[in-house]
Amino acid sequence: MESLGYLMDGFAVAFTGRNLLLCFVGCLWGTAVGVLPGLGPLAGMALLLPLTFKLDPAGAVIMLAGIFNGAMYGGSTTSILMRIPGEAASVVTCIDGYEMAKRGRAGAALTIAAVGSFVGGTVSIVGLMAVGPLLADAMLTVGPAAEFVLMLTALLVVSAVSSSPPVKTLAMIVLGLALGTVGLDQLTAWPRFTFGSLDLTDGINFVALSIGLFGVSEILLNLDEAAPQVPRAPRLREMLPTRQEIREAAPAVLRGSGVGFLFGLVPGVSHIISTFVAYAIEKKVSKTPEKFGHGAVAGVAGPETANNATTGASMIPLLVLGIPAIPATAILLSALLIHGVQPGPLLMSEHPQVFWGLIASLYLGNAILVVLNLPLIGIFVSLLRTPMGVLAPLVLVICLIGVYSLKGSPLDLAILVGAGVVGYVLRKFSYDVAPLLLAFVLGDRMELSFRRALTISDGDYLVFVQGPAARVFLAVLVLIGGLQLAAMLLGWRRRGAAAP
Amino acid sequence: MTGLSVPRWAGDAAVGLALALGGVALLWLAAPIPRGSVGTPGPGFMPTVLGVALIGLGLACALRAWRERDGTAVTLADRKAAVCLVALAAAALGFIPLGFVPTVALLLAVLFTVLAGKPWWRAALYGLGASLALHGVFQRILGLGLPAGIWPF
Amino acid sequence: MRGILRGVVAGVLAAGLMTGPAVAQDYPARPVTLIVPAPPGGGTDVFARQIAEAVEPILGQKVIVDNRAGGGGTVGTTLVSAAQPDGYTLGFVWNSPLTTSPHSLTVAYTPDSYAPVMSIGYSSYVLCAAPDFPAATAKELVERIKAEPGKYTYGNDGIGGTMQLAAERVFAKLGAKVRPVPFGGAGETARNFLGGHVTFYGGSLPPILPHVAAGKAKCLLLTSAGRNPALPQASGLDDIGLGAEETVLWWGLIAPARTPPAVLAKLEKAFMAAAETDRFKDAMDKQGATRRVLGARETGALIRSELAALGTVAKAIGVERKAQ
Repeated sequence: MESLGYLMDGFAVAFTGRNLLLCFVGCLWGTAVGVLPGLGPLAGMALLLPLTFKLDPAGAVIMLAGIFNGAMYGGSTTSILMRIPGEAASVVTCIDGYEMAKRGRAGAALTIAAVGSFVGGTVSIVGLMAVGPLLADAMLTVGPAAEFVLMLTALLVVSAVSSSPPVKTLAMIVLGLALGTVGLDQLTAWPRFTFGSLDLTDGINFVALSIGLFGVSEILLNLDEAAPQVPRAPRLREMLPTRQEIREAAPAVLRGSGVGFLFGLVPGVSHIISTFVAYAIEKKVSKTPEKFGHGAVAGVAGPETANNATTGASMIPLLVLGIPAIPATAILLSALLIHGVQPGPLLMSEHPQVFWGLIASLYLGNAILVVLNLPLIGIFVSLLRTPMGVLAPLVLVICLIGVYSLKGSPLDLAILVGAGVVGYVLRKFSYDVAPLLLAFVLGDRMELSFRRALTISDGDYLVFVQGPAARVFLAVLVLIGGLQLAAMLLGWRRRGAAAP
Repeated sequence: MTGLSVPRWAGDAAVGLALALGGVALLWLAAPIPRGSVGTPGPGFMPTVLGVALIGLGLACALRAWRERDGTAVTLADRKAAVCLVALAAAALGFIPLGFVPTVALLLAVLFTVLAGKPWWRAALYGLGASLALHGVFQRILGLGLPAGIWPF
Repeated sequence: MRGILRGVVAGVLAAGLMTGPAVAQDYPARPVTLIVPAPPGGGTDVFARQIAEAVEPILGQKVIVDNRAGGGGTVGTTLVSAAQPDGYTLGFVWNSPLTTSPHSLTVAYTPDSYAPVMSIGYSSYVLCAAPDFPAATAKELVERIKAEPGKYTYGNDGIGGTMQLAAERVFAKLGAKVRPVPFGGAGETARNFLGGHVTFYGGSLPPILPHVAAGKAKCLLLTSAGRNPALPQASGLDDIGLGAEETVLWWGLIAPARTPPAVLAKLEKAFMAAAETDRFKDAMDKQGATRRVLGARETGALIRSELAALGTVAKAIGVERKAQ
């Protein structure tokens, strides 16, 4: 087991005093931004990204992983306590977590979420050691043609699980792809839609766009709505689940780990899919499915575990193919790139210390959350007690700082504000902006791999159905597309039948 | 609540039409870019395809909104959100030329007055205090470069 | 950023209060800002920070590195060209924004907008093939690709980029046609090359070296005139009689045009001395770069000849945007 040695090296790196401190600071900061409205893992990581330039690659990655974990956990916290998902991945947690909180079991729900996440992380590490190196070798066969089919599949998956109607989701995907075409074309050096701005030749700044679309718009939406009820922070004694709750949670945690890990290996599959599937499975196997939606413990344990197992497993597509599962992991990728670490099938063999170091630090972040953040939950809840009128302005300023500190570009600030307005209007009329952002991330590479493949094949479209990798992805594409089409047709028939 | 109350379907349809218009703009901007051939797509190929798709999907969204119209209304940009947006835009403009501390102090003063309902002089005081504190944390402790502008230190 | 703005403010104040240009003997009287048009962490940034550190004791002033990435280095280079020509804003750049980007992008500077100060050295690009490719030397490689025009593909760092133009410059002289396939960087090129998706690897040395050692690639031709000790089997362009067509990745220091000549002379001397320090030599070795310290005149001549040569190539392969 060669990988075990590397993993141990990874832990050795993570366990130095300075790196532990970085991880702890990252977790604290992450939880805070995860709890605050308008700020999620993405904004939290983006804000401290320039700071990580000054650290060595290991320290940078450890800190970012800490923020990521913390923010995910912060998102679960607000889901359980206030029914506000800080991140798409914790949407499902809202359902039963909030019901548990209403029954005075908020503390137990928080503990189950944290411990479940920890177990999910453990399972995904073991899984990575078992299959990771194998998958990495197989992925060398993924050339431009297969990469194109793969990204097409990823976009289809995104559209299949989005919360808004298919036509709206497709429109958002196309808009995201269109925004992704801005900048210097790598195949012809043609500056597209740059209007003479050299700054735009790099394309629209991803961080400015995403913080605008998610963060700023979130604040504006919050101002429109009535202030949410601020809960009482659970006492430490209430954090302990009862024996009955543990009995219900344990099998759900195990199932959630497996589901989360398997889904995380599929490139482009976001956490939202694995958490929904985990919830559905729990409901299916439960002896008391009627309890779901009314505070079922398994309905919190399963998805929360799956969420974290997905994070671990998704490191394979992220680091081997460079395909982020959610926009926040794209930040991890850019941090690695800045430190000269290129994602690719060779990463695991050439930079094992980076790969396993990242895995180890994600895991460590989990552990720190369990040990330190559970007792500190009261402090984070009191953050929520700050009136929106005070919180919102401060969050907006933090968004400004975060975007400015990346490049010091006035254009990025304009993009931030513009994206905020657009995101506000889109979300007001229930257009989901998550597919837009993922399409934006994948779009540039998708077009390039399409045209690269045709350059290599000299214009022959058959290249997209040749080779084992392309064929496997094509099969998945057809399968998902077929299922989705069937669901759509069924939906139409049902609607048609229901109409008078 | 003041603000603009619009029927949900109308706003939804307007977004769809705006997307379609965006598609038209994309096609227009992409027109001078060489599209290449089917075998060797040029830099204008993808934008053209996307422009057409965006027009189609935008119109489909608008149509869908019209067919599913109901009586519900949506309040768009009430006073708080509108002020917030204008103030943020102004702050983004002034951020670099004026510098961090003056811009953020001003932004916070306005927002604290309007959003938190504080008297303006207290809001101004809090704004200045908070901007100095943020400056201290991000510039001094975290070492991020913030714009100095007309602020002397 | 803060540094520049403060510098500008201070400069304006100083100009208004004291009048008259900075006197060369007093230069530098305050910290110097070194604009680096690349993001923190990359090779250019590392060299910039190392030379800034090495030159501080020589100049007797602090040198503040300011990363202004964007547009393949053109954003930062524009800033340097437009800065106050007082010697307090300098740019540490690589050659791409100076000699490559102006062909495909409309930039606001020409070689007349900035003054070359010196350059520190270079890093070559290399063309590698799979171990079973039917050529064992650069000469055989040239014969093969000339015999089969348009059959082979080579991965590169982007069409119209320095690496691709470097390769096309050689191919043009050979009368060979190899189809370029651009990737997002040398790492991505390496992965696609190893997966057999392109015939040749084209890019910088570091990403391919481990695979050469593992016997998965054989590197045959460098884009530098001379050979490189890291790849003893690869020929330089001198070996195939095309030494004059060298295009490499190199780094140097520029100042705004109209910077007082005395200040430029002082900077040239100080930075050339800094490039000779052991720590700086060490930094270049670590990044696999070759040291070749050139003065202002030679660097300027290099910029102009490279700009012209790459312009011809860019026009020939149709990435030149100026005509449109």
